[in-house]
Amino acid sequence: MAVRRNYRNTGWLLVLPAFAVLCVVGILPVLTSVNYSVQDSFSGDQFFWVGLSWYKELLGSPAFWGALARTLAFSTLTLSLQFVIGIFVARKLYFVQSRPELFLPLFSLPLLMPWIVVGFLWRRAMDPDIGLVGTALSLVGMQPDLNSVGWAWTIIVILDVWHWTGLIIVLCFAGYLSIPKPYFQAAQIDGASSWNTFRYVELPKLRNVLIVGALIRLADSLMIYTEPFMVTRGGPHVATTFLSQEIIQTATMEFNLGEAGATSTVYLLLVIPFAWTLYRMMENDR
Amino acid sequence: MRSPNRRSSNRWSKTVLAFAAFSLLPIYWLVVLSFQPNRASETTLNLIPSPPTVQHYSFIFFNQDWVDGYWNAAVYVFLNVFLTLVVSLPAAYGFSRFRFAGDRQAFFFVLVFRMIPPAVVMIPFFEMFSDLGLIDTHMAVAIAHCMFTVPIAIWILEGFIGAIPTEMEEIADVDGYSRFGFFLKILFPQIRVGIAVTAFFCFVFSWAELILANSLTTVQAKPIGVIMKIVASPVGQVHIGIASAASVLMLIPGTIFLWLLRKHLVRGLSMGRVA
Repeated sequence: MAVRRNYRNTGWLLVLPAFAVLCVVGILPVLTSVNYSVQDSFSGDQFFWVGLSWYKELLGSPAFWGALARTLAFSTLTLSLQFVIGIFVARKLYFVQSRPELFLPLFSLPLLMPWIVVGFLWRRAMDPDIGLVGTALSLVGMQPDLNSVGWAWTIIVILDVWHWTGLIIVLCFAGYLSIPKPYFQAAQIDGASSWNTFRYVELPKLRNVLIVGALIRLADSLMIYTEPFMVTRGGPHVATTFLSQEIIQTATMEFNLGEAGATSTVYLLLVIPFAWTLYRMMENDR
Repeated sequence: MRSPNRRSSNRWSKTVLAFAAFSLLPIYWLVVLSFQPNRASETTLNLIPSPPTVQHYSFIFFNQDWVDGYWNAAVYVFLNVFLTLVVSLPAAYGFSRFRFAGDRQAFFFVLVFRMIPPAVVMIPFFEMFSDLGLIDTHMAVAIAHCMFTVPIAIWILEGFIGAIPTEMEEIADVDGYSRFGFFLKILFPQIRVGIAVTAFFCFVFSWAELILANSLTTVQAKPIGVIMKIVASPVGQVHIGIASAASVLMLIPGTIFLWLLRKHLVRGLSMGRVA
């Protein structure tokens, strides 16, 4: 970045109001949640110190490990699909399509969908009798069925790919626009194959936008709640119950603030290293 | 693969068209569902509303709860965008222009808030706003949503401000502008696209979020999304027509916003990081 930055601690004064707000809406509730995790509560207003026993219970709980494994599997699966499809479509958009900029608002439309609408829409769309996608699938002999684990996952993964791949496409297209044209000419003169041009010319130049995309997508896919809740309610059994739903259920249906707090704390401890790694990668480019 | 500078004037990519269809068809179908009676939606798959009707829209427009719900969502989103911009503009400027003790750690710290799930802070927020007597007010939701809108805003604005040369401040200094005068008269006009894009993203996320909006409101400030849940959630009595009509109505403000910002979308979505 071409900007010269002076070393002045008065910078803190400018950052202070934002920090104050983030302390109130971020640190305070997180600390409250951590506070719950070391206490046991009765009827919501009597609290007793229980130390780390909620954490011990959590680490021995199959429900927690299951939800954690499903969440990580879901994030890995959807992010891989979104990045592969996203880069592929962005590449076609940049190299082949004429007037590509007209497609960007169209691809961004699903991003605007309130999450509850996404869930409602895809539950309907996958209905084998009257749904847009479901009827098409049943024509080729497939019957989407929310009682099957495979189908429940398929539907949620397609839903998420539909909802967010547009973000990756627009990001990558922005990345492509930033590559100087002579790079491609040089690659062409050198007789580089399509794959090698992609691997050694395009991919390094896309790195920045890909990291931005990974950061946003990772944050949102790990905390997914509304969409699966609207489609499968976490089922069949617990097959699509992810960490957020596990936390909300423990807190509001079992009224177990301690265990919900412990799950929350563990969640945050897991997310921070991911965020730090991506942040460092981004900083190194600056 | 052809090189882009030899692109002929009228070429269509099958991949791009197929993906556009995949993106748009479900939304189009949602519009169809909102314009036809339930007995049609529950028995057949139509790609054109038959018979067409506006009954679901008129139900929403003539029902005070739904109209209020729409208004409530608009009010807290507006409050949120305003609050977010007020605290984020100076912060983004500070991060972009100064190095100070712990600045890198502080910038990371801001990003981390974007990763906190609403599920984690739902109960603490409820307790906090109950103590303050703010439950069921627009302000409660607007403040709570700052948790994820402030980080996004600082991030995007920092990118936009960083693209402006530092000479600008030096010239403003020579011309005798105060710091505040510089912000108002010189910096803001330069980054107005950045501000609009930031407002758009705060709007999108605040408009879509319902976990906190649901738990912090009961009657007076309840947003349309929470009301819609009653007729859209698989546990409730699903009413396809009304739920679809409400969904379409919830899409309209964002679509208008998107259309106005279409030229700046690329820069905005890359958080101001790519030209």
